[in-house]
Amino acid sequence: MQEVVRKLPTSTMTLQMGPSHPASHGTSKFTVELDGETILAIDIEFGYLHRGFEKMCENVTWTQVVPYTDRLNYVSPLINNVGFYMAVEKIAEVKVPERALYIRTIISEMSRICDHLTCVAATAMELGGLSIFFYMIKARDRIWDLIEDITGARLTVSYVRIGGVMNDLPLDFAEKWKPVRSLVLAMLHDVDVMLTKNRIFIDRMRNTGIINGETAMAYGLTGPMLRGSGVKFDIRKASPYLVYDRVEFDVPVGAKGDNFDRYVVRMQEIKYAVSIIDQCLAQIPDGPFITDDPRLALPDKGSVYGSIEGTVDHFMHIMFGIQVPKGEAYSYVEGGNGELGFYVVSDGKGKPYRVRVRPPCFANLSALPTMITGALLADLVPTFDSINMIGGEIDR
Amino acid sequence: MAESKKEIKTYISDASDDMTWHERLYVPALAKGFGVFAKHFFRNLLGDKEEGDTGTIQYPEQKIAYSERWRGAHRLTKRPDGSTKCVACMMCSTACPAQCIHIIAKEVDDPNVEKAPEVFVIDELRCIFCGMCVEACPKDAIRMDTGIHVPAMYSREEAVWDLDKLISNKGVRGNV
Amino acid sequence: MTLAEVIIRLVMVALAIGLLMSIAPLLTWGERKWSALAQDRVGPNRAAIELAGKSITLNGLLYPLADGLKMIFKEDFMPTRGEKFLHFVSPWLAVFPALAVVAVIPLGARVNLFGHEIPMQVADLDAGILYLFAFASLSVYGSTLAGWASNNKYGLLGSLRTSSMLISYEVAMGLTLVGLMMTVGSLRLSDIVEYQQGTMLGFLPRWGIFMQPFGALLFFVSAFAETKRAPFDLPEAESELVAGYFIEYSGMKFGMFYLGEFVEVVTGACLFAVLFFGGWQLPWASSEAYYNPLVVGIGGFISTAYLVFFVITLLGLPLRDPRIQFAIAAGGFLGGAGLALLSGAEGLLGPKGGVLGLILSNGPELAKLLMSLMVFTMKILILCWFHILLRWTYPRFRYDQVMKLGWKMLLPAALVNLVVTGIVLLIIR
Repeated sequence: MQEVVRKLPTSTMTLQMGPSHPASHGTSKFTVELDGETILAIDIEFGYLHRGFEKMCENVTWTQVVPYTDRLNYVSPLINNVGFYMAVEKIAEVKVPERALYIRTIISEMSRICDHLTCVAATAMELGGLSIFFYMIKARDRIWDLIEDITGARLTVSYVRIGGVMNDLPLDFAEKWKPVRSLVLAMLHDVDVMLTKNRIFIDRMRNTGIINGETAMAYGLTGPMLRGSGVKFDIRKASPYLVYDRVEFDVPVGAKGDNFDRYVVRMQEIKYAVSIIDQCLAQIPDGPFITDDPRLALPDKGSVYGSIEGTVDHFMHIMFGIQVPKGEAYSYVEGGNGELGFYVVSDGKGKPYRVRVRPPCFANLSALPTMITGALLADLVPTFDSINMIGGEIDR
Repeated sequence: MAESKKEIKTYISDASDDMTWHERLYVPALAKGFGVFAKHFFRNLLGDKEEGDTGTIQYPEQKIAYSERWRGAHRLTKRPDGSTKCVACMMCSTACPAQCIHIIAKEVDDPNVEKAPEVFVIDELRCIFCGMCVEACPKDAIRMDTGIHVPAMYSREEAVWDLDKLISNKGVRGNV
Repeated sequence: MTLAEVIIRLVMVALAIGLLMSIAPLLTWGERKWSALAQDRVGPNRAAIELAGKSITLNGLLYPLADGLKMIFKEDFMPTRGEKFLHFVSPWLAVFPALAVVAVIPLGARVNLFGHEIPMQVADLDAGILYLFAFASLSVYGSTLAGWASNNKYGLLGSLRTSSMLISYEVAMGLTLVGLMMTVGSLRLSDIVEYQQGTMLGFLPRWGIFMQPFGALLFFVSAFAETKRAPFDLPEAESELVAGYFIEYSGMKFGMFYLGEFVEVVTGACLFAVLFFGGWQLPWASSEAYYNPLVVGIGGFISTAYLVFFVITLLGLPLRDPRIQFAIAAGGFLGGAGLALLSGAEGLLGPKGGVLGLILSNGPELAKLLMSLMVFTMKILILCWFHILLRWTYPRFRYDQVMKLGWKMLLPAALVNLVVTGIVLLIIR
């Protein structure tokens, strides 16, 4: 018998998702072409949050850039602070005091915990497990309390300065960290029980949004996205900055590069971040928290109030800004989502001549069409979430 | 959208091959998950409301104590005679990345002071609460320790705080 | 039909609808508060009525009221190029089948009061279970037509998902119950409840869940899917389809979908209680035990204490407080003692005349009626609690995974259950 195959005359459906769609958080828009529920083509549009970060930086002094960097990846602002001033310090060849390095490591890791918590929480929430979102956000809030203690703000921290940080750690920081630490670990355990072995979750995450290591590198992916694909690359290990060469931690990698691997990588990294903070608190030396180079750091308030030299120094600092010598530098830190790079050019006139950010999400998001084309509409949600696109960072 | 004509490999992901048999059964892991959830439920239901681990603050009635470094709305500190410590040196308005401070200086007869602000306004809607004005002040005249969130306002004018308003703000830890 | 019978039926209709319509709004409260408790939150507690300068919040119990008011006064939006008639009619189609199911559910024991036989059931149909399935499948229309009539792509996707999912799970749901029907030998729900008295294997209550544990699990899953709540909420899948089939609904029309969902939860709990948890039966006891004052006393204590406890959690009073614990115990004691007295007084005092005598002579029946109603309510409330808490625990399925679960796991499992039940029944009889 001859088999007759007749195709029904069907047409595809174009669906506009976003920019205000529950899944497109961080304001982006997907134009999806659907055949039934299968995604045939996807067009990602972003830029709804563009504020001109790079241009704005050219008009302010080196010190005044820090509030702008807060607003890049607003989930982990402290890493952005650190990243930007590391580039500036590279040009100015500043020696940052030991204690400041440790403080910067601690705050970076705290931010990393926040970043990963937000990402996993959002993934779980968008898959329907709202409770996990609340557990994780509660833990994140406790970390923000600590960040408020250190920096004076929960989100717009503006904490790092050239050659150090704004303030020393509070005296009782180590003490306050302990309950937060145990809360985070208990919460991780709860979430682990609720998700990792849960077949519904595994079904949604495993084998969806696959990107193999080779393609991932070709797209320039970094961070948990790249590690999820099995490439053991972490800037903290590959090119240790701050004090990452003095603490012990491992770089978790996935096998397949699917959403589940990225989830596991993130959960592991939270645990390592907690352990890094513990180690730093054990090792942290006493000493100044900002460099004593009078050209770079504000004089201390005692000498400003009491001596004419101090006052003049202070006035010069504020009026003309810090004079970073001519030069250019690219610095890179391991942000929450991958390599966060700052390329900074200085013409020696007290203001950045050019600032360029390499936001990790930008490269990561560009891989989304490869990861999702051909899959179901529902797979878009966990895949997009595991990319963890942050609007402030990608649009700058 | 042009490439939709091209042949696209569609797939429906299936993870069941990688699962152990009890992962496949749904029930054990789901029951465990529900156990965790119910544990939270009963701990919060039967536990003491004060000690329970709900993180909620009933906001207008209940407020958390801000940390010592918390940056709130501004205030200007006073000399013992009640006048402002500010000497209108413009440091804060120079340091401000948001350009929200506006100062007009005036001469003062007192030889120890010489200058004082005629006008000192801060647009609290423009302010980004970075604390750079406090860092920049050579006289400890401006502080952000009022513990005040800038509240919602009905007009933009209300958000522009003048000298009197800034002096009358009180610090959380004593009013220097 | 005599006038008395008509009145009894009307009272039953009022009782059934009343029970449903009082528990369903309560569940909207419960959904918010119970999930809040499990998520380490406090939950909504600000809706207040100002009375004599004091604002009364009742621990958020006013929210269902506030919701109702809001929905009634909200603009009723109609998409311009939608199908007007279907758009109007589909919320009703969603609510009505859910309400109609309750007609065949026995809410309490059949009693003989003041010379009239009173079945605590609107209609005791021979084919009760078939009636249930019929109305369960009607509920597909509401959500399917809603999405289709809205002229919205998200709505369309949602309604397609609904229709395919509900129809698939109907099959599994029907088959899971066949095992129970075979065991009991009847489709009449009151027979099924009657059958579930006493003990089996010497130590287990002869409840459906112990006779058909596997069938109970399968039925629970498929009944859960029928309510379209997470993890089966893919028709409305918030993160993908925004709100799915009711995306274009606002005001009271949306309210009806919302209410319909909770009514479905309650009827689902009723069904599960009737089929697998012995309905109004006490565990281990035969239905004759309802005439034993001691059993009524103990049962009355437990169920009254539970209801007092429930009301106290409603009001959010601290359970650690010894006074509250005393109140629960005292409530239970009063309830138990009162019911036991009502049940056993005539036996103690002997026959009396007048109104008192009339009440006393009907005492055992009255006690049975109240008691069975309370037991059934208690079972429903616990099942609803479980149902609501489950919704917040798990991520949702994907469309094809739900289909696979329905057709490739539940359906074969239901068939296996059927075969095994048949074999066991053959061996036993």
